Amino acid sequence: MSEPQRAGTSPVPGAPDGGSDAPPVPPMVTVRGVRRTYGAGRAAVHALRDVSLDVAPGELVALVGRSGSGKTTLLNIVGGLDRPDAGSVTVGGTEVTSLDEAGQVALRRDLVAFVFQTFGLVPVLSAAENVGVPLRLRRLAPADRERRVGLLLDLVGLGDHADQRPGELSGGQQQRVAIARALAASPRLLIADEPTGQLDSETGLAVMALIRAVVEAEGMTAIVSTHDPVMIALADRAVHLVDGQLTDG
Amino acid sequence: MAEPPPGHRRDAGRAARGGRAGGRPALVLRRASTQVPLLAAVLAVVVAGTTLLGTCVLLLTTAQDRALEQAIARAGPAEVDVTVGLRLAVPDAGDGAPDASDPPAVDAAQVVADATALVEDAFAPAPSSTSVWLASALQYLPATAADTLRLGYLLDAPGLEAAATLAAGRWPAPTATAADREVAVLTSTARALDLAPGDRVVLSPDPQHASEQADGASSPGSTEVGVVVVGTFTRAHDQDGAQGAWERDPLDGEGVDTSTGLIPAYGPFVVAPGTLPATEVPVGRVSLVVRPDLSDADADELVAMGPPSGSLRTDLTRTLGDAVSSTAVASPYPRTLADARTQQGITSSGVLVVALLGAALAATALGLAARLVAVRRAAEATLLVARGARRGQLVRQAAAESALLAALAAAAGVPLSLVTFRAVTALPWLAGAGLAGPASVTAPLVVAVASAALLLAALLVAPSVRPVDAGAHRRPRRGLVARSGTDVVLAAVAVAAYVQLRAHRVATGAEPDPVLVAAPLLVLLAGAVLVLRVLPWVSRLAEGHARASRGLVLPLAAWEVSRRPHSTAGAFLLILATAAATFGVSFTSTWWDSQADQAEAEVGTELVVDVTGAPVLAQGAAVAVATGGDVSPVTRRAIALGSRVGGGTEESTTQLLAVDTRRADALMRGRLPEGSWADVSAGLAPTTGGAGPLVPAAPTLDVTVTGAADDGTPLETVPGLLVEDAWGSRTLVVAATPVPLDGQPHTVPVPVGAVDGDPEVRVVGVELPLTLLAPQDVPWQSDITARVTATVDVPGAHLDAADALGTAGGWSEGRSPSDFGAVRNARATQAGSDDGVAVTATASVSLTTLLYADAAIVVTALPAAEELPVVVTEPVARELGLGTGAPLSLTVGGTTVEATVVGVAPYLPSVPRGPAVLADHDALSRALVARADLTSMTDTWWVAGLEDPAAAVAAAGDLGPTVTRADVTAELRDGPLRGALRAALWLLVVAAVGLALAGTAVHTATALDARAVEVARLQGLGVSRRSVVASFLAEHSAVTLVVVAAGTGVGAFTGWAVGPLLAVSATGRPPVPAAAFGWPWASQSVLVLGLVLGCAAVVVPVALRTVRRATVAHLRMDAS
Ligand SMILES: Nc1ncnc2c1ncn2[C@@H]1O[C@H](COP(=O)(O)OP(=O)(O)OP(=O)(O)O)[C@@H](O)[C@H]1O
Ligand SMILES: [Mg+2]
Repeated sequence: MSEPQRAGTSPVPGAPDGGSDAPPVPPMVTVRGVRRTYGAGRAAVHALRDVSLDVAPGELVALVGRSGSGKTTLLNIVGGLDRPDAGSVTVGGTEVTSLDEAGQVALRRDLVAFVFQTFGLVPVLSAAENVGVPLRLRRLAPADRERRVGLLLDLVGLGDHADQRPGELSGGQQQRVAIARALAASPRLLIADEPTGQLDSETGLAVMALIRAVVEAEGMTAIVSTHDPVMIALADRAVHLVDGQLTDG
Repeated sequence: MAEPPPGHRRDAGRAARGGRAGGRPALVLRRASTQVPLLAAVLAVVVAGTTLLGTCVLLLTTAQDRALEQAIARAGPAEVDVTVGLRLAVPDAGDGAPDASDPPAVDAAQVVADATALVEDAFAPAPSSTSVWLASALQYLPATAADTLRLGYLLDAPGLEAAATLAAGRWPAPTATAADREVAVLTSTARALDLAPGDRVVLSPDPQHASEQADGASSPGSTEVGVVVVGTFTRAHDQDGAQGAWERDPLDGEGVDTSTGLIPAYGPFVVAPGTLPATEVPVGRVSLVVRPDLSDADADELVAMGPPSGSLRTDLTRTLGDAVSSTAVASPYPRTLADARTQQGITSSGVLVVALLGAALAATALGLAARLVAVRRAAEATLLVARGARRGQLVRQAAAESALLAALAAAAGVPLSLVTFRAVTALPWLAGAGLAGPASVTAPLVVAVASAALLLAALLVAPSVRPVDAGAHRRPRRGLVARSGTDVVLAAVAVAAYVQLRAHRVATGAEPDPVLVAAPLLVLLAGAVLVLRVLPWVSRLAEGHARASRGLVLPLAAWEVSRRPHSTAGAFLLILATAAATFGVSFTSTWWDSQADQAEAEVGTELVVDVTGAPVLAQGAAVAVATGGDVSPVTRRAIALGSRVGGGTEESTTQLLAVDTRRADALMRGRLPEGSWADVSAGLAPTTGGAGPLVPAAPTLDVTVTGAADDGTPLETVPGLLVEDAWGSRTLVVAATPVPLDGQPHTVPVPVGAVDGDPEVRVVGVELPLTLLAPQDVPWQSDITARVTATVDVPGAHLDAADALGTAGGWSEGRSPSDFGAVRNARATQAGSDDGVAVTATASVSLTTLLYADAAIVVTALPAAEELPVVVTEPVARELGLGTGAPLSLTVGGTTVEATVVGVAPYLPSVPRGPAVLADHDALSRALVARADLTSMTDTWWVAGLEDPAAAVAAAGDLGPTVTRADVTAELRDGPLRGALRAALWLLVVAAVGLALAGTAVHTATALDARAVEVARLQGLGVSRRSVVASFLAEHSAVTLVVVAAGTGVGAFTGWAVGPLLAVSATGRPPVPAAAFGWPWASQSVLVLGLVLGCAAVVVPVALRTVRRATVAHLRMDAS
């Protein structure tokens, strides 16, 4: 099952338009033969077994799989939060797996933005302050920062909730704050781990649509994991993760 | 890389699997086992708290008992010995009409036995030794040639030799026969009666007139006693218990009593010890000195024993009945005991403050620990409740755990208290005070430790009764305390306690003084609570700053500071601990310095020497040579001030202090609120110099007196010279024999009493008392006045430059207000020659007045001011309404001196309390001389500027009793009853720092527990580990710095406001001079730095660990 994937240059079309005569655009994300095993011996959990994947720039890929199939593990590895036991990951031409700590920090600061499955907001900070964190990391002038934060919160429809803390927001609102924060520093790659998982389907769809819209607007690449088939429709492409392995359908 | 998720989830799971939540010991144990480090920390805090309390209890009980025992054991005889003076119902010769035929019906031996038993019983079970001196009733001595009757008495005084120095011959020995018993007499008695070893004297109950003596030495009277003088002796100077011995002699060791109106008495005739009862002479007076040996008595016995003066006298009078005609009792022990108990009470107050502060700190630390435990268990508790457990079951479970902890803590606290106590009492100053040694387990210790352990452990249950909602990150609530307004109430109570303390005049009794305890405790607590209220403002300020800044590290820290809930308790602990510790250090310094200040004020100078057993003019040189210091004669005595006679205690009597104020800065000690003693005493010293012939120092000076009355009236004088030594000490020395003023030169020795080779002395006055040789020839009806002129030639004398040139003031009159104007217009001149200096005095004398008044020509080379300038203390100024410039009459001895107040001082050196008057010694002496009072004003000697104080004190000790500032300071600081306070304060500092660090560790662990997920998220956002750590440390150092600074502020404020008021004197009254706020910068810096660094040392590793452990796994977790 994995043989053709490994042999082929790409199991998926290189670009959305798929034109074979267009100059080859280097993929935004390249995943090659990644393995990740938790634990050892008989208790070992093989979360990822030999995963390979390419994501073209500007593409919105849905990473679909059942709970426990390894979605979060894969996304964390792509984002440099975790390291694979084997294989390599390149993001925007940078070999992520061999980055040192500083490099990983720079990667997350400048290239990649996360929307975590558990939202990942800093509880002591208000919505606006959470969104401002990536901008502070880039040492934006306070006025510029405030303006962009306002913009982003308006974008996600939370302009009126800027001063509320995560504990005072609903799940969907928190997730939208997380998306606003992820977009704040204009990352080239947005990684969203089940952004809709804890939301009702209506809100989930709205969030997904929001992601779709900003990805298009900002020209980002995005990998969004989900186990909700409805969401797949909004993606350019879906890849399926089953038991730590990618399948075609 | 991946780490297991934090423990409490796992614990919760396990507990859930453990089945239904109940108070099952298995569950308690299993749960405890998963939280060993946490529970160990909790246990450590409880143990530390109980140990501190236990140690304080031992300091309050065992150490105080020991201190009392030591203090009493060290008390001098004068503070313990009971002195009983009994006058037996036996008539003295000369008392009314003695009936010799009526034999005395008093059994002296029985009286002695009864009285001794009565007094000794009062000290039972302590053994006592009693010294009994028996004096015979007064007997007639042979009359003088002029048939003046004289009295004498025998004295049977065991141990008298210790208080005397043999001058000639030997001490009496018992003789076989009743006749011619051996006696020794004082040299003064010998001189007055013209006795020498070998002479025989008869004492008789009947008058021995001059005419009868020719008949034969022994008259047939059966009760006559003949004694043979075998030795003469002088009084030894007061030392080593000789002090006071002579007060037991009926004539106080003077040897002669020629008080007007009485038959002159001479004595004692000291017989061999134990032989008086065997003579025929009845015992007339008994002196008992009962010295209890209290060295083995324990504190309880000491408190119970001792006869109160009043009741002892009553008891003696009742027991002895008619055998005794008068009873005098001095029993200083009750006073000594009461003073010691007062000091106990004061020290206990301090120790109690420490104990209560320690308890408050331990409770706060435990509150933090309890919260940590609760947070770690919150999930479990929620789960258990969800599974149907009732809250009561959880509480029971927590209670079971707490009880276990309390039991463990109590079990450890008792032995640890004993160990700590032993270590504390091994501190040098406590060991030096005799407090060292192991303590035994006492009921108060066990009760205190056990109840402290229980109470502290109960704090652990509190959160399970009122559950914390774990991880609920709401906006910071104001603390419970602030919300309820308790802090305002506390502040009001603290202010009340402070006002009470300010008004507190005297602390007495052996129990801790509530005012002394409450004030520091409440002010510290209220300060800490109030500062908490201010802290949010500070953090809000930081937050405003955060909003305006670009970066993340510091703003994040600021946000954390201002928005984290639960930080109040941690801050409170650190504030209170810092405040308690800095207050402890500050108060230690305040107290320590105040003891030195009080000692200075009490002693007044570096070293005080009461020279005894040496003539006045030999004293200055002796003191100067022995000490090598700056020496001044000093007048220090009670006086009458205007109409104010005072009386009773020393402090209600006005004290006169006169020193050489030209050297005030060197001699006078004692801190003043402002200025120096030189400023205070400016203008007291005379501006004019003295004059008079200078003579080489010598024991005697042979002066030649030539004088006569112009009308030829035969007069006699006993010339006296007022002689001044190189240190300004003046005394009148009087020729041994009278000299007739018959126009012929008469040379007579004057016993100056100076020592050959000492610096020259100066004759500054001449006194010529006049006696009519033939009073019967002077008609008393009309006033006959004669001009009397007398020249006193002082051989070997010379005049100094000023005198020789005639620029000195010259001689003037000293006029006695009490001679009824017998002598008027006295004048004198001096003339130097190669042989010496002649002082010629002349005056008009009312011969008629001489018939009934004592009069003398007094001339002096010392010019005196019209009025004596003096400085009075505030009590005098207040009581008499005196201000600067007010006139004042001082009665010194029998002479009244007009004075002017030139200043008011808060107190005087050596007179810290009560009314006192300061004058210049020279000026005072001159003022008295101007009123013809030539009495020496040298009461004692002050020495300052010592190069080698220890050697000086040792050398001065040979001259007489000494008091040194250093000794008094050491006693006040480190005496048995005082040292425990300092030890307790150090204990407080150590405990405060320890508990603060423990609390910070627990608090940090709690805070970081909640932060792990957040740290992981920040890292996920691209915040580097370094930034996370930096932000975290910035947050903590900001909090620590602000909180420690606030705590230091509270400590400093308390030390400044309360400390000086707490440093009460050993007698429980406000100290004199007022204590000054002490803030030892070095120690405080070390302490504060230690606290900050200690907190850092606790926080940094925890922070690093948390950041290191923050992993991807945490990202999978909900923040809640
Ligand atoms: N730290 C870890 N230690 C051990 N096993 C782990 C760890 N993290 C994940 N796993 C296991 O790895 C496997 C893949 O987990 P992962 O979180 O990637 O799944 P997922 O597809 O994201 O699931 P979900 O849709 O529920 O989020 C699971 O079987 C999980 O139990
Ligand atoms: Mg997942």
